[in-house]
Amino acid sequence: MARLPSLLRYAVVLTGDRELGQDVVQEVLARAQLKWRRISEADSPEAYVRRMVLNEYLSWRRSWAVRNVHAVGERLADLDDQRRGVQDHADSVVEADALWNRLATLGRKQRAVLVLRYYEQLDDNQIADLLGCTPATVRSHASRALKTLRLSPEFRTRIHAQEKS
Amino acid sequence: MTDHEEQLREAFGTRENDTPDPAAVYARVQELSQTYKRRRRGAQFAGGAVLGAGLIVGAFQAPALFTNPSAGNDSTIVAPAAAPSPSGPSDKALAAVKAARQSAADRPRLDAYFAAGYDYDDAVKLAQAWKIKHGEDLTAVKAKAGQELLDGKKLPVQLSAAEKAQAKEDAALNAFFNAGYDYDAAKKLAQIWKLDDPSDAKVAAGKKLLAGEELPVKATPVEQQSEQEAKQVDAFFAGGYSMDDAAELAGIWKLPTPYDAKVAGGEKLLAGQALPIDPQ
Repeated sequence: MARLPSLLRYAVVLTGDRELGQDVVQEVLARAQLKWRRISEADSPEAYVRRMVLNEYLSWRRSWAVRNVHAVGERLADLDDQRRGVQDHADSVVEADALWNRLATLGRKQRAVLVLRYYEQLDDNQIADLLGCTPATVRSHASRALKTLRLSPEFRTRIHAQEKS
Repeated sequence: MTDHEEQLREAFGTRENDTPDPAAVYARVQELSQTYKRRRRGAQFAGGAVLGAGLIVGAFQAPALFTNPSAGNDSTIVAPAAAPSPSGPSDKALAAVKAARQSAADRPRLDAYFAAGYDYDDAVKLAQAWKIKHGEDLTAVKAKAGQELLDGKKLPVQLSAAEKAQAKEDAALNAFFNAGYDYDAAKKLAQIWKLDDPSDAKVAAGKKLLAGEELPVKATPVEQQSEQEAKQVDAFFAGGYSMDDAAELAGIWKLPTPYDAKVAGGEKLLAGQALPIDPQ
């Protein structure tokens, strides 16, 4: 059993863009219809379709859309940086929003690793299986992504140290 | 839960419900599927029912989604699993061996391509520059480009200085993690090398590994094993086999998990041996 609303939520979080998420899901479901017999024989048709959504996102050919999202994300992330200087106590909603914008600056695989780890709650071996790489490469993507997002442990330690000094 | 886990989940939560209208998606899927069906001449899609109304409001179940899919299916799209043949491997099984070995041969070329900093979008540009017609899969273009790089040739698509620098850092990080090192190792190395930031230690260590130097901290052997396994798993999928095939092979070979079957199957394919079932 699969659910379209759940699939759309996953696609929006994965792609970081409502329209791109919609395009990806539409493309995948249209193709899924043509090979539904095979999909329905899978242990979990829903997992199969989710894997198709992931693959579609990673190989999305209309890259202008992703670039566009990426560029907008960078601009918004810059704005967040400027705002951070004047906000002493940003509330968690604003911070989550800022982090969402910063996520748009990541490469597709790095973003996918974070979504699969923290949204889909898969372990590194499962993610490696989905992405066709080693668990070590998954950790490498995650490490770079967290560093870019300034969420890596070392960055946070430095920030705290700077705040204390 | 760590800080960053919580922060990321909150960030994902800010937009996860900002989804498109399922009814609009449903309508577009119908349009697209009609287009695909027209494109696939001879691929007679059975029945007229497609995504049901249940999908829009919530659940869809496979039988309700597509009616009678067994009638008139295109065998190139839906191929039934073949039984083991008593007269030797089938053409499909032999083609799987060829595809797996080709993929293994392409692997160093693809590694060279990505390690240089090129990506999917560059492959699209390269295909245009070389006037190669390509479909969805640009693997052959990337492999050709990777081989040119290995031969010391320049590609018609150039990277910026920043992209090259990023590629070097990425390559060092990959070398660090692929050798089996982790964050704890980076912290130890940062201490030994008197670096403030373990991230810098990861990059510095990766560069040393790429230069063939040894590190003062040992890597865990499990990770080195997983790299070999990853090649075998890659070969399994490159042969066209799926997760379901792995489950079937695990049963045939009496292996504890489908993952073990992927590893064993990949090993056999790389050794030029056909598997007892065809890819589905």
